[in-house]
Amino acid sequence: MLDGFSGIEFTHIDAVATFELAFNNGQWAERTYSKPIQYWNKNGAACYYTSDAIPGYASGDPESCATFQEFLDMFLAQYRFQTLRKAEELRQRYEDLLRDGRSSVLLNGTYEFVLDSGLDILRGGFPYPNYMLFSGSLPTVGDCLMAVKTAVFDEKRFTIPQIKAALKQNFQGFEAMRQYLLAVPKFGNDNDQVDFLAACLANHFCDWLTEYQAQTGFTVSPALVGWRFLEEAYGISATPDGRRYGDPIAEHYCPTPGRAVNGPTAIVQSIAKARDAIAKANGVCAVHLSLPRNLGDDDEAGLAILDALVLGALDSGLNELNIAIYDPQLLRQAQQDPEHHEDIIVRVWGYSARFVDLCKEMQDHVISRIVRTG
Amino acid sequence: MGHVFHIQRFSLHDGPGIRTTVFFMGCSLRCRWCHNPEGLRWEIALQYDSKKCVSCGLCAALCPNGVHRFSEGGVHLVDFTRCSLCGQCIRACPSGALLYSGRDYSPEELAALCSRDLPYYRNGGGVTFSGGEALLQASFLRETAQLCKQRGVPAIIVDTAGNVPWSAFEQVLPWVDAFLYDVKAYHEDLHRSATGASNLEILENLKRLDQTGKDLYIRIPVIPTVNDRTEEIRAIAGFLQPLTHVRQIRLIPYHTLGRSKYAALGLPEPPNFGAVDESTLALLEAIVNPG
Repeated sequence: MLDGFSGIEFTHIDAVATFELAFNNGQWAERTYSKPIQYWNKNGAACYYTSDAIPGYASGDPESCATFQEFLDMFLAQYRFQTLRKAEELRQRYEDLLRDGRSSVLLNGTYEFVLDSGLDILRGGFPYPNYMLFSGSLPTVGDCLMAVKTAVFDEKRFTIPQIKAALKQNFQGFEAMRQYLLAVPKFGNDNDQVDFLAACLANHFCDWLTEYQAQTGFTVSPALVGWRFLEEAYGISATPDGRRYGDPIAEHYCPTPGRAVNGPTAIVQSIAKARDAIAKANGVCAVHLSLPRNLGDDDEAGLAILDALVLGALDSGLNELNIAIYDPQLLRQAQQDPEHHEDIIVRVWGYSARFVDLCKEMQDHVISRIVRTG
Repeated sequence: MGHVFHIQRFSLHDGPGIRTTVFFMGCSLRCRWCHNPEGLRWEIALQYDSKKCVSCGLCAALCPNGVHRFSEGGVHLVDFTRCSLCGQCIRACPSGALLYSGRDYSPEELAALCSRDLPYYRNGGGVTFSGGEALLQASFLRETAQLCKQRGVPAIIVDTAGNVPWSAFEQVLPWVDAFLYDVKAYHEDLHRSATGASNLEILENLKRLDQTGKDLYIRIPVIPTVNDRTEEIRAIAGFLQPLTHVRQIRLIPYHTLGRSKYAALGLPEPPNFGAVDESTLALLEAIVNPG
């Protein structure tokens, strides 16, 4: 086993961090707060996270925008810059691998194509591109764009400098503004405006990688998933959607936890508006739906509801639906009394884990994404 | 146009499957335990959610009628009687603490909203028209239900307390597949004291409805000190016994979830009937659903 020499590479873009950069013309926002978190292992040392989005690209001063379209274009310029930089990073890593010439024998041995052709993964033995760029959390960016559109351009309630001043203080002393921003429609409620804003971002992301392939000959597959939602929540400032520092950020292409209030069908309908982008991403779009227990009056009724939900989602154009059923009360008990709840397994993102082993922040994230139902 | 106070998607307790429930405004009963007071009046009114208020004072500055005042401690006092419903405070409120208690809809608009979850209306799912008393707006309900059917909604349910002329049922029957029917008491004097109205027409309508062949889901609210005695529930069960299209009888134990909404509407606080104890509920359950 040659660790790190799989010949399969992927990396990701912090989309909400990219929004922060666009909001500040390529620089990180000024802020007066920061908190270290213990991630992956609750017994590990806490550390401060910073986003690995790349500062320095001046995409334009948002305060100079006369229309929302200009503001959106500035964000898209920043997002495109980050996308192409990450694609380049992947290509560089691939070329380094190729130059080094080593790839894991064990992993190569698991591919029938490699065994049949006698060529390893770096020498054409595997006919599909193995390089993937993840861009998760776009729904939270959609929420941020929608908030700026409504507050600054449509209703002219606040200016960008006013919002920046509030973000700098994590909304302390700006609660009325925060409540106003929270009341702006959010992704996951089947609201066309904000849902199509997020879908438009996903579309651009996929298209840029197609262009990149045409220009360089190197294929980077787009994926609407992302695993850095927790680090990002603590690695960037508060955001214009009314989110305080540390409050959860959307994972994958799911709503920002806690913001979808119309139930799971509205969530699926919101996501399905990006079906073109999902197709461009070859269906790589993870959808987590955490539902509470007691969906129906009894098991039979509950099953009929789940069945209708899954088939309806398929008909609406989703090809992946990751449903988990949790009891939020039980999870809160487990936080208080981990010793008696060691057996609870929860879905985290691409993996499952014992709930009590997660750090407090990730536990809170898992609880906050449970959809409330009528 | 119809008056509606809420549209709830993924509603799981107003009939089988995944449903969208539409809550109509206006009611012909005044049940002392009502948990949906927004549905009592047909008129749209000002509603104030104190939990969302950030005491910014914008409403007080804008209101031409002096509805909103703030005490020295920053407590928001609302005088609902002075409100002319001009809507200035509602539009200005940054946090959504001030809102209209309902909205006007055209049948087309409402049917379109009810059709958003069409892909999920399987296994008996569909649209439920509730309230308030949905049948007080029978012609609006008929038009909306017809449009829903045309859009492909498979199962339409009306949730009613039955205190309407039979002609209201006749209007909607062709477009409705089943009814959720509330029976609150069998004895007329008890019904009158608990709801402010006789139940003679309610029980008569239920009998006639049974003859139409529509599926009936009966719901009996169990209210401590009002109708939670075995004799009363036994009388209701006896009345239901000869009906042939009752698919389910459910007891709904009293809960206090709706109480905070009274203050939000400027209505006097309703009595608290307290929790139904489990042994009573089990006893009553055995009467309505023996075996």
